[in-house]
Amino acid sequence: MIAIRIAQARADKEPFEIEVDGKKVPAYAGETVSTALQAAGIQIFFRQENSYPPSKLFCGMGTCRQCLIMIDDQISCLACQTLVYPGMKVRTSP
Amino acid sequence: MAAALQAASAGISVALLDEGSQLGGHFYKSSLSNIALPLSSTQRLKQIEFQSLLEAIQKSDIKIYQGARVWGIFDREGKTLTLNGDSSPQNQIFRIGFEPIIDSQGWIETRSIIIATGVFDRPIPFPGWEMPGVVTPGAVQIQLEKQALIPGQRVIIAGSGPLQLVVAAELIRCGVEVVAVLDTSALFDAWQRMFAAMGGLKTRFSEGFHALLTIMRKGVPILFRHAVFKALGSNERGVQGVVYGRIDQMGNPVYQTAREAQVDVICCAYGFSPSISLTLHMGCRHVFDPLIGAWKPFYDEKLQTSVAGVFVAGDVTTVGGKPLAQLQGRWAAISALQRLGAWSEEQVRRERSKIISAIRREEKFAQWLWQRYRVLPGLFQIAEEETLVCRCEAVRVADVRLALEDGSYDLFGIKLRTRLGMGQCQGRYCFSNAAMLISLYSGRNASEIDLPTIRPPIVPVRLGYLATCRQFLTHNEEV
Repeated sequence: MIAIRIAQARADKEPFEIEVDGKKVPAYAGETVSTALQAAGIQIFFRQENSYPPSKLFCGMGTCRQCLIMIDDQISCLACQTLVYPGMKVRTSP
Repeated sequence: MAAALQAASAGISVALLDEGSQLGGHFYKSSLSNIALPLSSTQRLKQIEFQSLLEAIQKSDIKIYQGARVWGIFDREGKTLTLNGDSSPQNQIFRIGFEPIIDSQGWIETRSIIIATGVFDRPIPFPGWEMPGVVTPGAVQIQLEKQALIPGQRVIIAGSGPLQLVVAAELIRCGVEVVAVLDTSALFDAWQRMFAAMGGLKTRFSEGFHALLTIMRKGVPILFRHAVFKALGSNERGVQGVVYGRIDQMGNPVYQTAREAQVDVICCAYGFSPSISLTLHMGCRHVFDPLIGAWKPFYDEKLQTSVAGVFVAGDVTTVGGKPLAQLQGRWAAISALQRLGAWSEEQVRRERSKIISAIRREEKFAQWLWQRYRVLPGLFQIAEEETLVCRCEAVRVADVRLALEDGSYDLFGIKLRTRLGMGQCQGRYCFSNAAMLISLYSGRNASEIDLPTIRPPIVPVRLGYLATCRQFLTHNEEV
C-alpha cells in the first residue's frame, strides 16, 4: 500500500521533519501522524512482541484504537488523532 | 449543537461537551480541514450552513468544552447510577466526569443530559480483516477530505451503507483505481424501495446519483449481493489482494463464485454501530435492532432513555443523517426543558405538532435505508476458525465457539473466558459481532443475548488525571 499526498492541497505549506525510529520523515502542519507515516510508506505503526495484530489505521476517527503508537516516549497515542509537530519522535516498536 | 441552541434559547445554563478539537462532528468534518482540496459545491453549502450554526453558538451563553472526553456519568456523590432504569427522582443531579484539555476541573454537574454520541463504521470479521490496508469507508473519507491523502493505488469497496458510493466516487475523482463496489443488497431491492421513499428527498438522492454517475462513467462495476470473503496478504506486508464473491439472500457466501483481485486497500463496513458506551455504563436499557445487528439505547417518544433526565438524539438512535439528528436534538432539548420546568406543557405541545411530523418523515427515510442495508446474518459465516473477533485481545472465532461449548451462555460469560471486549476499544467493535456469532452457533435470537456491563472509565484516560479525581469520587468507585 503506497499512500500519496495530494500536492495541490499543500501548495502553500512548507514541510518540516519528524523522526520515526531515528529516521527523518517529512510532514506538513495539519497532518496526523498516521498521514505522515503512510505517506512515507509505513503502514505498520507499531509492532507488538506478542501475537496481537500490528497497529495500523482502521477507523480513522479515534474510536477503534487500532492505530496506537509511541510518540515522544509516551505509549498508546492515537496515530490517527495526533497532529504532527516539528521534532516529534515516533517509535514503531517497544 | 442543535440541542444546545434550543436549550439555551430558554435561558437555562447549557454546557456542550465535545470530544473533537473543533465543533461540527463528523458531518461537518470536511469543511473544517486545514489541508484541503478546493471545496465542491455541496461542501461549500455545508460550510455556509456550519458557519451560521457556529455563529449562533458563539453568540449564545453556551459553555463549550472542546476536546472533552467523557469517561463516566455518576450521581452527585460520584456513585454509579442505579442500574436498569430505576427512574431517577425529579431533582436528580448528574455528575459528568471528563478529561479536559486545559481546564483542571474535569467534571460538571447537571440536572439533565442529552447524549448524542453518534455512530461508527461497523465491521464484520472476514479472514485477514486485521491486516494493515483493511479500513472503513469513514477512514478513507477522512483521509481524502481532511488530510488530502490518497490511501492506495487499487481499492475495492464493500459492505453496505450510503457512504460506499460516495467514497468510491471521491476515490475515482482523485485518480485511484476502484476495482469494484460490492453491495450486500439486491439490485431489485434497491430500486423498489427507492421509489417508495422518494417523496421530498430529492436533494439527498442528487448526491447519491452524482456519485453513481461518476462510478458508471468510469466503468467501475457495482456488484449487488456481493461481499468480501478474504483479504490476501500478511500482517507484515499488508493487503495484497482480495477474494470476493456472491452472497445469497441471507448473506451466506456462495464460494463457487469466488474471484480474486489485486488490491492494496480493502474499504469495508456493514452499516454503523451506535456508540452506546456512555448509556450502557449509566445503566440505560438497550434494545437489539436486528436491522443494524447491534444494540441501541431504548428511548420513548420524548427521546428519554430509561434513566429519567437522560435523553438521546442523533445517529445514536437511528442513522438518518443530519436533518434527523438536528430535529431530534431540538426535540430532546424541548423534552429536557419540560422536565426542568423551563417550558410549560402548552409550549411543548405547540412545538410538538411541528417537530414530530418532520421527525417521522425523516425516520421513514432512515427505515428505508436500513431495510435495504440491513445486516445479513449469513455474513457471519464468512469468518473462519482462526479469524479474530476481538482484535484488541486477539480472540478468535474458535475461542468464542470453545467458550460456548464450555458453558458460556452470553457475552458476559464469553468475556470472562476469553477477554473479548476487555481491550483498547472496550468491546465497541466486538460485542455486537460476538452476539451475532453466539446467535449463529446457539440458534438463539441475538436480542435474547444480554449485553455485558461496562465500567468507567469508558474511554482510556491518563492516570495522572485520574489521580486528581479523588475529590470527585467520594465513593470508592472502581477506576
